[in-house]
Formats: sequence, C-alpha cells, structure tokens
Amino acid sequence: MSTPESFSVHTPLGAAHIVTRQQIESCPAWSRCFSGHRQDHRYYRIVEDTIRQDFEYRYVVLEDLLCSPRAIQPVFLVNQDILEGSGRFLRAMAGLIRAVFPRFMFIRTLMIGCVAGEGHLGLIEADGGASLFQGDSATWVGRILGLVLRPCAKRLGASLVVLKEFSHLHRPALIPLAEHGFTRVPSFPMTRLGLNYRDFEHYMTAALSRNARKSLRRNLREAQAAGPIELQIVEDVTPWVDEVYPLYLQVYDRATLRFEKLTKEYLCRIGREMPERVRFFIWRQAGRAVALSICMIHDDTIYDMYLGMEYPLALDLHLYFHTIRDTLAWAMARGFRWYVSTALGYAPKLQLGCHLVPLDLYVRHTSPLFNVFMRRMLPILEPTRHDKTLRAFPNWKDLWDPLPMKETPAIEAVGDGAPAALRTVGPNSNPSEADVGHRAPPGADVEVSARPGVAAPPMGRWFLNPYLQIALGALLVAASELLLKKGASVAARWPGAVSWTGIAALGSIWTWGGILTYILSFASWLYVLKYVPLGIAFTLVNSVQILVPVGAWLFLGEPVSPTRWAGIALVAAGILLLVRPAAAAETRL
Amino acid sequence: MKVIAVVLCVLCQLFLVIGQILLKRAMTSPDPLPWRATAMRLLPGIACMTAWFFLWLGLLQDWELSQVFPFEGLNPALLVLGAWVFLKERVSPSAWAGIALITLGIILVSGS
Repeated sequence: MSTPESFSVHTPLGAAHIVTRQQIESCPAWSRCFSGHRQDHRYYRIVEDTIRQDFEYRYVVLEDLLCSPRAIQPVFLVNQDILEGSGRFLRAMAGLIRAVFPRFMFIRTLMIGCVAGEGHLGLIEADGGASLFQGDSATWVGRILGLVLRPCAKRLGASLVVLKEFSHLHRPALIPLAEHGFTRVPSFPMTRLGLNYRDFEHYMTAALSRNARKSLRRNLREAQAAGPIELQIVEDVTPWVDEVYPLYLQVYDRATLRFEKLTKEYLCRIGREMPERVRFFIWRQAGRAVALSICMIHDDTIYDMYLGMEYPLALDLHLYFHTIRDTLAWAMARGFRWYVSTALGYAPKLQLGCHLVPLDLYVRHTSPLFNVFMRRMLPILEPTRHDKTLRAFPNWKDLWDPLPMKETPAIEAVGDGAPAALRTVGPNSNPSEADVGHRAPPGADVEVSARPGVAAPPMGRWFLNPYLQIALGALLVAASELLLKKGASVAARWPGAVSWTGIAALGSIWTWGGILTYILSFASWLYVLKYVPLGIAFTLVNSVQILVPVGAWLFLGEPVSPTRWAGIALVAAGILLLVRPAAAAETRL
Repeated sequence: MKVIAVVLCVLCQLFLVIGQILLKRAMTSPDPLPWRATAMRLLPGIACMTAWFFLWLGLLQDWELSQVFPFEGLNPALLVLGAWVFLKERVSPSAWAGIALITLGIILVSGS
C-alpha cells in the first residue's frame, strides 16, 4: 500500500494540509517556523535526507479559517514497537510470539515531532498585521491538532498517533488533546544543569556533596592515569567522520532503547550546514579517538545530543566523566548558562546534580475501541516507570505533573535576551545552597552506573521469582490441557465436524484459550530456564504430576493406594530438598 | 514391530532432552541479546520440542499408555544426565538427592 503524498483535512477551526518536503520548502513561512529553536528547518531537512530507516516524512501545515498558515508540524510514519522500553519479561514473552507472528505489537504509527530531537509546536510568528489570533496561537494549534490528527492518520494508513517527546512547556497548549482521546505519558526526560560557575573546580566545590566530589575526582584520575587525553573541538566533522562514527555505533549498539540511528551523512551535514549551532567534541588518547560528543549550542545553552565511546576502554577509564568535565569546562569558559543532555544514562547525571527536563508523549489509537484499552495500558507500558534512577531525581514528579514546572527566576538574570518561550527554567536551577540537600545518597557509587545509553536493570518483583514461575508454568500447562480437551469435546458435538483431523476443534473458543495458555506456559518456561539449572527446573515441573492423585483424593474422594502415598511423600521431600537451598544451586547464573 | 516402537520411544525422549538442552542454551547467552537474536537461537530447540510432541502423540495413539509410560519415566533421569554432560550443570549433593527422590516418587505414583 502506498502512502498518499499530500491531502487536506478540513475542520471548523481551519484546515490541515499534509505535504511533502518539496512542497513545504516552497512555503516561505517554513524557514521561520522553528527559527527560535536549536533545531530549525535546516535540521529537519538534514534529518529527512540522512536518517531514512523506514521513516516516511511529511509536513502538516495548519491553516486558520482565513487560509493563512499558522503552524507547521513535521511528522513521520514509522512501524513502532509498542513494547519498546517496557520490562524485560514482557519483551521476552513478545519475542516468543514474534518468532511466529513477526508483526505482533508493531503498529504503524504517525509521529508528530522530530526523528532526532524533542518536539515543539511549529508556530509561525505573525509578521505584523496578522496578529489577530496571536494571543492563543499555541492553544489554537493544540485544538486543531486534536481535530485533524486522527483523520490524517487514517488517510496515511497509521493506526496509532504519537506526539513524540514534546517539551513540557507545551503542556498548557496541548491540554485540548485530552478531549480528543489522547493520553499523555512521560517519555525519557532530558537532564539539565545550571552552569553559573567560574570553572569546573568551582562547580565541584559549590554544587557537589563531599562524597560525590570525591568519587568524581577518583574517576577523573583513573581516566588520566592511562595517558593524557586530548580534546579537539570542531564544527565540521567531515575529515574525521570515519574515525569517530564507529564510536557512536558502539554506544548505539549497546543501548537497549533506541529509535533513530544516525548516519555518517548526518554527522557531516549538521556541522557543514549549521556551523554556528553544532560542535563535535573528539577525545583522543595516544592519537586514537576514544570518545565523541555531538553537541548543539543555542542561546545560552549547550545541548549534549549524542555520545560515542570506545567501549571496553570507556568503562575502564570512566571516560564518560572525563568527557563531561571537558564539555562543562568548555561551556563555562564561554559563558553558557545551561548544560542540557539527552535521555538515558541517568545515574551519572544524578550524581552531577542535573535536574530532569520532562518530555511528553501524547498517544491515541485511531480506533475508539482500542483507544479505551490503550488508555488503561499506557501507564503500565510507558518506559520511564522501570527506571529506578529516575525516581531519585528531586523533580521526578514533574514527569507526571499536569502543567509545566513552576518557573523560578534564574540566578542573577544576566541579559535575558532569548525569547521567553524558549526558557526551560526549572525549579532549583540555582545550584547553590538550596540544592545541596538533593544530592544522591552518600555512598551511592558513580562508577557502577557509568554506562550512558544503557537502561536500568529490570525491576525485581516477586512475580519474577523463577521458582514461582515454575509453579505458574505447571499450572498453565494443566489449564491448557483441560481447555484443549474441552475444546475437542465441544467440537465433537458439532454436526458434520470432521473430527479425525482435530482441525474442527479450532472453531472452539476453548481450543484457542488452550493454545494461548500453552504459549504463556512456554514463555514462562523459557524465563525459568534463564535462571534455574535445567535439571532442577525440569524435575520440579514434572513433580506437579503428583497433584493429580492428591487432587482426586481431596476433591473427588478417590482412594489413594499406599504405594502412591509413598511416591507422593518422596516427591514432596524431594521438592523441599530442591527449593530450600535454591539460591545456592543457581550456580552458573 | 515392538522393536520399532521401542526405538521410537527412545528417539522421542531424546528429542525432548536435546530440545530442552537447546532451549536452555539459547536462554543463557553470556550477554544480553536483542529479542530477534534470542528468538533465532530458540528455533532449533522449538523444532526438537515439536518433533517430540508429534512423536509422543503418535506413540500414544498406537500403543497402550502403560506400555510407553516407563519411557516417560526415563526422561527426567536422561535430562539431568544431559544437563550434567552438555551444560556442565553442577548442582549440590542435596539437590541431587532431591532430584532422585522426585524421580523415584513419580515412578511410584504413575506405576501404581
């Protein structure tokens, strides 16, 4: 099925025109559209040209009733894995089902926002005369988006609509989306650090607790011990791209949660075409590139967007802290006031005293029925829930708050030249005394988590206890056998059923229940295999057979022979022997 | 005919044991793999288990349960042996005792 290239949707508020790149570039308003943001129309062009994957790019031009364009939202179509970011157990189960149905839980999705960056409302600032609607321009965009996105998605063949990683600053404007069936859930937030320090030394003494400082110094010493590390900062990375791109790939390959995959062309072009905004930091040890940081600078903020590392080396050397130190020192020396870095790798950022900058997803399914279900499921599936480190941040609650974080006046308010809409001023951005109490608990060690890009380990709930799963799996097998039997007997009663093939049983809901239960039991069994020695697990699962005579005796009053009783006693004793020292028996894993 | 049945029974149990060992091996890679890779690694194990399932079903259709059941009783023993040899599973003496007790118990219960 080919996707329509352009079409229009009309509403009582105005119209939405879906267009392609060629069409949007002939629209004069487009170049003004994101001019206040670090990622402007040039960036969107580069992304569309260089990050293809399986994305299909489009632009939505929102016109008011006077037919003048008020906003432009870049959008793209993607086949999204909706289990991305959920717990390991869920993903493992889905992996099994996907071995048979590869498209299970993948949904063709219309995404609004930027493939490689956070989303913003693409308001077109009125030039002079047309300020009729200026006051609530953003709210108007929120309302019309609510109206047009579902029909647009349907025309584009997508069944899910997601506003991707929208800055929390747009929460008031996007409130109307809730009336149109959208659910807001947090995405992985960015983090931010105030940079009002003379230099890095000043930052360490003023902003870090004693423990954090000691630990940081130790990490930095270890990085230096293996030989001096040199830093090179360039705008255009083209001459070195073959050297540094593999560093990026190493980090990308290790990430458990990923979306866009940058290309060499992307790296080359952002520096060439946006030279005033892009800086590449390249660290070398003994002439060899060991780390890369792709940054953007805009107004008073430096954005640390992507990271590259020579991995085995990076973990040994705590290279991450070295790169952070150099980046912060560079930014402080040039008078930048904020250091913003993109999602994940939260533990070291917590130690460094960063705050969270929430990013929101707004999601709806185009089918009202599925959407009801989706609203219930999203808070369970959403990715930040499983990241324990996030909860340790002082402003973790902001991820869920209905409105943007309260603004506190920035320190010393030196020359606030940037447009107010761009200020991402959070609480406690003042890194002085009020802030010191929020540091990570003393003793929490920085080095454990020095793995940017790698998500936190899965939650350790009682439900995931492998021995409980053995019992559960055995019960599921028993249930599936009962269901299959029931299905077969129901089918046998149907007139004219071709009973000997067994196929007729597939017409019975019981049979399908049995099959589903069987698949679940298999998933549970695989999970068990991961943690329990095979000999023990298999013996235990087999021992469930004794439940049958015991159950028959208990519930049906069937007599049990003495030999059977002896056998049952032996099995029970064996189970006790196996499960009690279970922890000790998990030798290999 | 009887000989063929015995051979099939043994083959059937071998499929089960090998299948389980392959599954275990697939699920315990030293470092975390993407699900796609894990699913690929699981395929041989799943194939063995499928072969076991149909063989077992066929055997049950042609023979009395009591005739084939002793072979079913064999498989925990075979499996523990296989895990010991191929997966180098080293379990504690008390766990060995537990495995032995359960196996014996199951034979007693199902044989009576």
